[in-house]
Amino acid sequence: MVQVFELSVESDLGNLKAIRSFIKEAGTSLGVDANTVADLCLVVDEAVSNIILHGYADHVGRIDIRVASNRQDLTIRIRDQARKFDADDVETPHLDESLQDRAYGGMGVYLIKKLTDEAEFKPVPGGGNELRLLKRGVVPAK
Amino acid sequence: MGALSILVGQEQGHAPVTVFEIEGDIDAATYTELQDKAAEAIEAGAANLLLDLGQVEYMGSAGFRAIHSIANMLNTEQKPGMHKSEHVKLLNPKGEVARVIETLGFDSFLEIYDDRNAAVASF
Amino acid sequence: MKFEEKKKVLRNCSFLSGLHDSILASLADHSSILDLEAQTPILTKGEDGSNMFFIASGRVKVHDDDVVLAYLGVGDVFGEMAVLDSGVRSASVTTEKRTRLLCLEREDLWHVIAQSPDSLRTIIASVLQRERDIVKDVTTRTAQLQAYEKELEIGRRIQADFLPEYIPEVENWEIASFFEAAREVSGDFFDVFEFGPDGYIALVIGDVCDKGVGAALFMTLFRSLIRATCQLGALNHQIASKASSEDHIRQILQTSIDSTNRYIATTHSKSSMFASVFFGVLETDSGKMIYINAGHESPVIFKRKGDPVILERTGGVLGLFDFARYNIAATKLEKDDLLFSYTDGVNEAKNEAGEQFSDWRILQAGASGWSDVQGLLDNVLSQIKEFRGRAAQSDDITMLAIACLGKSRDKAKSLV
Repeated sequence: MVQVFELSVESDLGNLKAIRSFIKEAGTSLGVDANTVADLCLVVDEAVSNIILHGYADHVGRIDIRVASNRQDLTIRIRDQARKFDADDVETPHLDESLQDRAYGGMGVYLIKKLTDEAEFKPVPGGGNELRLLKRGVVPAK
Repeated sequence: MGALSILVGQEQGHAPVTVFEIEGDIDAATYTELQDKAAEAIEAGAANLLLDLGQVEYMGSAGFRAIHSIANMLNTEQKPGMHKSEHVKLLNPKGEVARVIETLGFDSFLEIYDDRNAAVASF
Repeated sequence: MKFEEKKKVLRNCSFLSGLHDSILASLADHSSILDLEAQTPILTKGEDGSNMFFIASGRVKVHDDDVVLAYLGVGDVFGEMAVLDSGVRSASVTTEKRTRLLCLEREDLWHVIAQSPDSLRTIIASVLQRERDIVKDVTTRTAQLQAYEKELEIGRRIQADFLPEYIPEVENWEIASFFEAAREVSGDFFDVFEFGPDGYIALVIGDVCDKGVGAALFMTLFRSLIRATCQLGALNHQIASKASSEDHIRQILQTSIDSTNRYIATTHSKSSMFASVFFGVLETDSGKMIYINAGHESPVIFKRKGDPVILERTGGVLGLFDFARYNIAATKLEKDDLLFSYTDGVNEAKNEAGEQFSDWRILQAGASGWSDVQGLLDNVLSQIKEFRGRAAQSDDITMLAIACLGKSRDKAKSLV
């Protein structure tokens, strides 16, 4: 059985707390244990913070978060409409960004990697990007 | 803007210790408050900082980056044989915060106490 | 909903812009109102379609299963493609919130167009514009994907370029390595080099936290700093006799790690970049090894006789705090002992149940014996793949191992 929870917010750092509450509610109602729920709140917070600070650095936009359970697995999709990649710029990826800017994600990315089973990032139809996070075996069977 | 409150106090161990009692969530929206408060205290002469995390429900990488930059602000001398920071220490991190400290390996670099008096006396 | 309101909704749709008022009136006459609650499916991909919809109020999402393709609102139209060419629905549409639609059947649309051939030109123009928008979106999306993939490819290329071109051949020792980059991650590195006086080999394995080009660039920095400080250290010390060389080697190892840590911690403190590193220096004559394990997965020595020896951490990660201290520990490799080092892509490889490969499976692989070092690595790799099953590989996998073959029995005879 698939259960879905969705939240849409503006790309504002002030919304991070509401996002964490949303993840906590969604995870708890699915029966996920408290420690894992806390890990998921952290991971989503890190991902969304990166999107707001990098993807939406110079403009405002929407961020869509979708939590879905599929049997015992939990998938969280975070969708943004940030236009980071310029269609005219295909040949020259942004290597001129300073090492510091480029590596900004550092600790956040490390935590996402450690606390999820899969973390996949890709541009999606309609513009924007999607980060798909997967955590296996955390939704108890009913 | 932030829902972070930082109460600044002074204690005396073998050296004066500035204690930050922090309450609220430390995330990308609020971490600058911690950093700025610390910079203020350092400018006013603080050389030792104890961060009381007992009332911190949530701390993300932004919070850790703040602690990282504060520790680098206060540990400016190259002392041979220094193991963990002598000038920034943590008190009572709880639950997920304590787990992330371990995941990031910050416990290799900062002393962590569960007793305020012991923490103050250690400086 | 009155006739005038219907006409207003239709006039509001850019798809019909340019149509004469009398045509709009005719369409309004033939259209019916549909009120739907939120989360109600309207069209399903693959089904036949004979009607099209104009949105009077509310919001819908166009999707393919759970992948959302677009959101539509007031003034938008959907379903027209199937109506115009008698095809099947190319996507599904479901309401997001309470929505009011005007619904028009295929026959009614064609009937109205037949009465006024000019209106056909307008409809065709709208359809062509829609096609152009789709092409533009697909092109942009493809360009975005290509740009992103290109960045990842560059990261992997940088990483691959910085792996050792060749692994030194050392008499009586066998060294083997394995490396496989994950799609997005490019932070693993390893290095093997001779330095200083004859008879010393450096073995380095590390993992930079982060992914993509950023990780790859920092990885090159870590690797180069370690190598350069080592070579410089060796040059600086005049190694006169073997007796003092052990102290010098210790000093070189310590300085290399300390200065690498300090450089990254101070010069790049804003990026909070860090790496875990295991750095061992082996004296090839005696098998003695000194090492620093800076927050890295603990390498293991599989002994010919006795329990495996775990080389525990001697300090935290590199690159965060310039006051951090790293201790040197010592161990020894006897004949037929094998030192196996790896990154967390090995012990943290996950299967479809979310379980990790773990340290104990690594120990098990070593306990079952090996004929040569490469053979052990191949064995561990095939076990990881079998364990992982259909789960994706989400992290770089790196392994570096060295085994002591013992003194060559023929050596004395070959010198006359």
